[in-house]
Amino acid sequence: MFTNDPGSVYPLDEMDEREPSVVCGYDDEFPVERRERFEDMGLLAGETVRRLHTAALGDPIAFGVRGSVLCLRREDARHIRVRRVGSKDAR
Amino acid sequence: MRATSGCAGWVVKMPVESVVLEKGESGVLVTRPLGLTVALAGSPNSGKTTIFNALTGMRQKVANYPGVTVEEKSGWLRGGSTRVRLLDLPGIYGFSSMNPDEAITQKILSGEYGHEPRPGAVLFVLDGSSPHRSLGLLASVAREGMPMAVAVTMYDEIAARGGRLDINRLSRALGTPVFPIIGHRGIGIEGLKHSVADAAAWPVPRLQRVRTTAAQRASWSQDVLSACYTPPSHDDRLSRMIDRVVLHPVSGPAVFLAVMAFLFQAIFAWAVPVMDAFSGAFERFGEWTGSVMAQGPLRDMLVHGVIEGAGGVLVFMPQIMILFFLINLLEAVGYMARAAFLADRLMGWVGLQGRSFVALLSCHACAVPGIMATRTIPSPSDRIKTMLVAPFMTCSARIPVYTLLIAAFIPDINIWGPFGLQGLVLLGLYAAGALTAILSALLLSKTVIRGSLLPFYIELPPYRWPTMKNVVLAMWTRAKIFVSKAGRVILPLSVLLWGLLSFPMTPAAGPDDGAITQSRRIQGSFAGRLGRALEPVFAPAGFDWRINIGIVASLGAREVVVSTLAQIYGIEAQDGEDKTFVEALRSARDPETGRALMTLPTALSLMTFFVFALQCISTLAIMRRETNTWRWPALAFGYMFTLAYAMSVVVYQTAVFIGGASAAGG
Repeated sequence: MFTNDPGSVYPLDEMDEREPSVVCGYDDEFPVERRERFEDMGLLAGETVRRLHTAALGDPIAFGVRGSVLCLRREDARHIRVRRVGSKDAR
Repeated sequence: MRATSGCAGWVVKMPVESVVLEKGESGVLVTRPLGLTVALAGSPNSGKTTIFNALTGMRQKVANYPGVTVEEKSGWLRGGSTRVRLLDLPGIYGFSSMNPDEAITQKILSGEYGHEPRPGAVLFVLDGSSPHRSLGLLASVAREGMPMAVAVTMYDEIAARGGRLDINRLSRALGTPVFPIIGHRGIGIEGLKHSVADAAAWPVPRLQRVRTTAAQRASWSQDVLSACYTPPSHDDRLSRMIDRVVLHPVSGPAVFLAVMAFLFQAIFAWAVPVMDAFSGAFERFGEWTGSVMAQGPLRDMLVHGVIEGAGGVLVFMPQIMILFFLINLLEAVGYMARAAFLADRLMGWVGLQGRSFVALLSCHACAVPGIMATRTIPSPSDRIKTMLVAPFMTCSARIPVYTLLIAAFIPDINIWGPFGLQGLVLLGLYAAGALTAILSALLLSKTVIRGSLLPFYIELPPYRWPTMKNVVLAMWTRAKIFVSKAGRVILPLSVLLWGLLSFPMTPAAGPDDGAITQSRRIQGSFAGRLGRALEPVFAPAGFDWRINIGIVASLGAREVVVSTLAQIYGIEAQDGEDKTFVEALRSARDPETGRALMTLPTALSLMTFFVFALQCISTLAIMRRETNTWRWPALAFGYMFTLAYAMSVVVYQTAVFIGGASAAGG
């Protein structure tokens, strides 16, 4: 899943503010229970995410996904891989 | 359809539509005919509570599901010809067996839950502001194969942001009735009410395939919505604008501190006049009762045991009501989620989470509303952890104890500028409490209560104008729960405590209860005997039997130790601020040996004891109610007492040693 464009795939917590990215997938060691929950919250492969806010000291981080705002802790966000999208892909 | 009800060890089988097992007034299980039960399912912030309140009005019942900290909320449908019971299921994001809220919801819907018969139908509350995610949850709920209808909330928000949802097409796609609702304006409620009255006729939704994974659920919602939904063309601009200030790295914490300071001020200071009025009213009622009744143990029990005990329960009401009014208001507006976001890093360090902050802050006024506020913490393990460390926070009941002992034994000398030694000691006591809470939370996270596999997440809902009716109703529900559930533990315990302090009765020396008589009476009581029996135990901490009695009495409320000591020392004044009491405390001597009763090491040791010990039956009672078991309050009392005892011994022995060394050196 990560082989398409390895240069631009990076963890969700390192994403730039207000530059949309697309969810690629989850690290293999990430517990499946957590993954399912985040997927139910909208963080599914193919979804566009935006970084909206960062709390003091860089944690947690608020993301915009499917019109709602979801806050994740860094310890979870770093297991989610995203890919930067050009303006033509972004909604 | 048959359901199994496991109650107190035996199993009863009966058709669920006709009868329900309920705990009657006397605690005996009774059967009662019942109409249809309709369960309300939906995610948090979906407007489910607004719909529940609109359908049921004030007629709601809140109980705890046995063995867990999940609340069961139910009520009767208002104004229908048939009796329909509405069951408000917990707000959930999915069905995970690790989250008690979600596990219970799933069990109830599938009919596997012993304590709640399977509902006859489900009213699914679909959050119109996030239809994709809500439909994913709907897919999980629909798998249970029950008759279903859908209420689409926040229907006005879709159009306001330039989107469109075709209700008829959605209804056709789901195969269920769909009701657009604008909750805060009451639009759509009447039609929904009529339909709920006839919920048994709702169809079972058609789902072609079983959808088990999140991806399958998401693609199904996408399919459904592609035919009937035009996403909003723009974000909620107002919310984004407010968040730019409220979640800003600099202005965000400033707003947070201002809101928290307001909250703290409200429960710490503004509740006091109302609380004083409450206790004044009860005092007068007690005096009146005393004046109309004949003298005797019955009068004493009624006045000092029951009426003072009831006053001791109701005195918490102003703080509980103010705190929950503000918490509910901030929650309804959408700020509580932001506050949790901002405070999460700070609390996360010690193994708690953002929402623990408000609870622990409230504990500086009183641990009772503080522990009740832990209910807003979604993770059960974080909730328990917060509750277990909450009593360490310096509550206002400790202040009279601290100020009295500091005034009596800490010299009033200036250290630096405006800072005196007395103030510094008080600050130290506050810091010791907060620091212990932090360290205990860390320790608990590493040992007794490990985190669950469920991830931490907060959803930031759009800012919304609060529905005052919901806010007030939720506040009222909390107050009612406290009085009925915690009150029934606190009242008997305080009567028992009064009994310990009053029996066996020594006959009064004269018609007038003088200070000496009072002192003798308390010494001869069971508590007095207990105090003497405990003397060898507390001797290493520097407490004599008199202080032991004070400690026993302070279980009712910490500040009572002040008036009890005053009684034992035979001092008329009961006011801690009183100069004569401070003087008397310093100069009180043992009538036999002539030694000072209270010395600096003893005072330091006693203050230390109050920093750590859980000397409060009300806190234990509310912990019992919130956790639904005596296990956690017992654990909290045990470990806090052990810590208090150990620290007091250390402080006393050190103080005596230093005192002796400096005396020898000087």
